[in-house]
Amino acid sequence: MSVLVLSEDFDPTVDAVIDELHRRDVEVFRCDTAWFPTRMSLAAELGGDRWEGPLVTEDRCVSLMGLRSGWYRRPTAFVFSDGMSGPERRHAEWEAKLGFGGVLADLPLLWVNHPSREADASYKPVQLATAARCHLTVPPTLITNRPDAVRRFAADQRGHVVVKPLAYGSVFEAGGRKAIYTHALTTEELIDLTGVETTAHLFQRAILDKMFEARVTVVGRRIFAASIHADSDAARADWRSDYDSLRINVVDLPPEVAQGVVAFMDALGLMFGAFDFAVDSDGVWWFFECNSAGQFGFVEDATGLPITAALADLLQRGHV
Amino acid sequence: MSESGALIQRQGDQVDVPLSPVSGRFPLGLGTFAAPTSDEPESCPDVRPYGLRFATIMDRSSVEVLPAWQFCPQRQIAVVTDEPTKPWYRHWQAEGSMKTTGASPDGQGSTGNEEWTPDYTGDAAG
Repeated sequence: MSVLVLSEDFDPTVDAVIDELHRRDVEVFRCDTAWFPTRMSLAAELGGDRWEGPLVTEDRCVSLMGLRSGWYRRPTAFVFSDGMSGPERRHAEWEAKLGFGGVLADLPLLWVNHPSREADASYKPVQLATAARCHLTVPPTLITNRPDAVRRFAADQRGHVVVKPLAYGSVFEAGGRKAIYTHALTTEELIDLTGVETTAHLFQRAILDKMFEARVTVVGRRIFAASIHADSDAARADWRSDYDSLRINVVDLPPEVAQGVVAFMDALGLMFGAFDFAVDSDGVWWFFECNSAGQFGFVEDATGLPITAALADLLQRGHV
Repeated sequence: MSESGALIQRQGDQVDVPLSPVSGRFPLGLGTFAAPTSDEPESCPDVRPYGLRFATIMDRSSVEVLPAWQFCPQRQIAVVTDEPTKPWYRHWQAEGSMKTTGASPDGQGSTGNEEWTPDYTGDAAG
């Protein structure tokens, strides 16, 4: 039985897990959806109540019936031949998504994570409400395109408000790439709210007395918690903005937070999640988000937490 | 398919419904080295989303050039181009440069800020 790994060719996090699986003599079939249809073929036939047939690349072949688990890591868009017209390409993209993607999504594997659960979990409002229902502590949050609602919310939070993106953390424009970090709004920035009305925005109460942040990585039922202490102003607002100033250490997770995290995973049907929290001076763990395909290599490198091995364990077992 | 409500037909083309779209199922992102670029400048303040006011150009003062890599189909991992027996991720660790586990999507070297590479990138990102 093989482990199916779906990700782009360059993904060092995946490489470490595959190396670990190979050390255990576990068969792996790694591919990227970008390989379909030019570098990978599928012939799936409905046999009874499940899809059967081979998935074939230039170098290997695996039977859909011979898969035990699937890691839906970071697969990328299908690539078609250059000669296709635009309408032909759009047609081909939809056919590939619903055909190739549909067959894989229906396979009764242990998915880390199932593609549809991955998609559901990408909605931050769903995450925040789910976290609250799972008794995790969530900062007061406003999602709006109304400036007057922002002013009222900011007044309620005594002006201590951050704005953060709901989806992508960067934008490509003017020939370059810009990062969109969590930004603590100043009084002046709360006066001129032009542009709020143009789309949805997420505003949240700033955690002022933040002691440290935490990255909690969940693999199946195993939880790995690490504290992230920032030594620069930029990193205290958003630790992604200044890696050089970070100190990452193993930290104890309060039992009630661990229970909430497990409940969250169950509620959204996730097998893997990388949670971000802030911990204040009262010891309150504030939930920010769960990255359902989040990075964990940097935590493992800094702390020695065996996340790669845990993921290999889960994929090898094929069950929780 | 259009009868499901998940996909509607409009002038002969397929358009996703805004929520629970078909494109959201089996989501596929853009490859690390195939990220989009755009020369379009910022729009005027009345049009530009408020949240983009605070977008900042990446600090490339400490850019590190990634060692060359190639995909090894036998081992199914990236290996160092000059030393094909060496896994790229271990080489990178040995260099003491494991600030992140990802590479820069624009191919300009690692800035150490790659953690914000989208964990999930839906099909519309392109």
